[in-house]
Amino acid sequence: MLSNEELYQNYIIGQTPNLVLSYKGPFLEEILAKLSDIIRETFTQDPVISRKLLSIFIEMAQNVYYYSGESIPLAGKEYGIGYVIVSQEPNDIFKFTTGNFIPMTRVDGLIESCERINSLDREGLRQLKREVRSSEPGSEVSKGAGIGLIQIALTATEPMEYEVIPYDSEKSFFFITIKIKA
Amino acid sequence: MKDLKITGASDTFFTPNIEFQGESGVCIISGESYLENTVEFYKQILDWLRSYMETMQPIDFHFSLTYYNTSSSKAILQIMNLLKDYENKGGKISVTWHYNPDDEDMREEAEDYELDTGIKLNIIGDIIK
Repeated sequence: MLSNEELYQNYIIGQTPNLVLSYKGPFLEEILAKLSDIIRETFTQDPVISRKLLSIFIEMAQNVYYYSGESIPLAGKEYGIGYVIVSQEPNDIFKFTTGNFIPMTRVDGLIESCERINSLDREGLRQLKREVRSSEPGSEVSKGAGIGLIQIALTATEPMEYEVIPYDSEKSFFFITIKIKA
Repeated sequence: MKDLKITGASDTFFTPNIEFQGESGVCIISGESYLENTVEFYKQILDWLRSYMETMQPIDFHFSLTYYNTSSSKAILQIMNLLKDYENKGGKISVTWHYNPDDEDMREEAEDYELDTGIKLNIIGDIIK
């Protein structure tokens, strides 16, 4: 357990200029709903931008919710644990970062998906999304190049940034950052 | 046939408005779609449509969603496939995709559904509230 001093240092070091929101913990639906409200209220002037910010947030949050290598059972349901931070950078760039543990067995596949997605142009992404969507209709949890990641890439204005930090022999920590210009 | 009516809501999840008229065959889905159990929610819609299709009456379907998540987009694909099958079996369909004219992504979605299913959509830059 961290001391007050360590918590304070953690908080101060973690200060992000133009922070929209920051949350670490179980990705409960009710919490995600409140965070979605904050995202929507941050940019109400333009319904299209508002829709895009919401879309990125929800798909990123669902990735943590479904795939996090760390979870907690609450009221009979298993909730992924992770970290999400949203900030408004200069020039109306919104930056979304999620961080969560992933099981070692998923690392290679996830990196491969991210590399593949980043190598495609818009038309290529649309085609890949159609392939993935048609291949498993009705399935809630997709495997491999998840449709959620493809949708995020289609909505973002810059390539995804991602990083895997080794933790132990069973899991790694996975960061993904998405930027979108409002 | 009995109407199917679900009032949309935006709380923890976003439930779309469903207004399917058994008499006229006019079916409207509008609002936003992000659900706790997407498969279960859309099953009742698919079931209603399957029953309606037994009457061989024409269907005038309107999609007018301003936001949906990727799970919902798979369910929308299933509706499109069902409508296309109905047309292939001799059913008469008209399918309109309404979108916010400023939202180019939502127009692209319509084009992608056309490619996926072979369905012909009337794509209109005008949202039904």
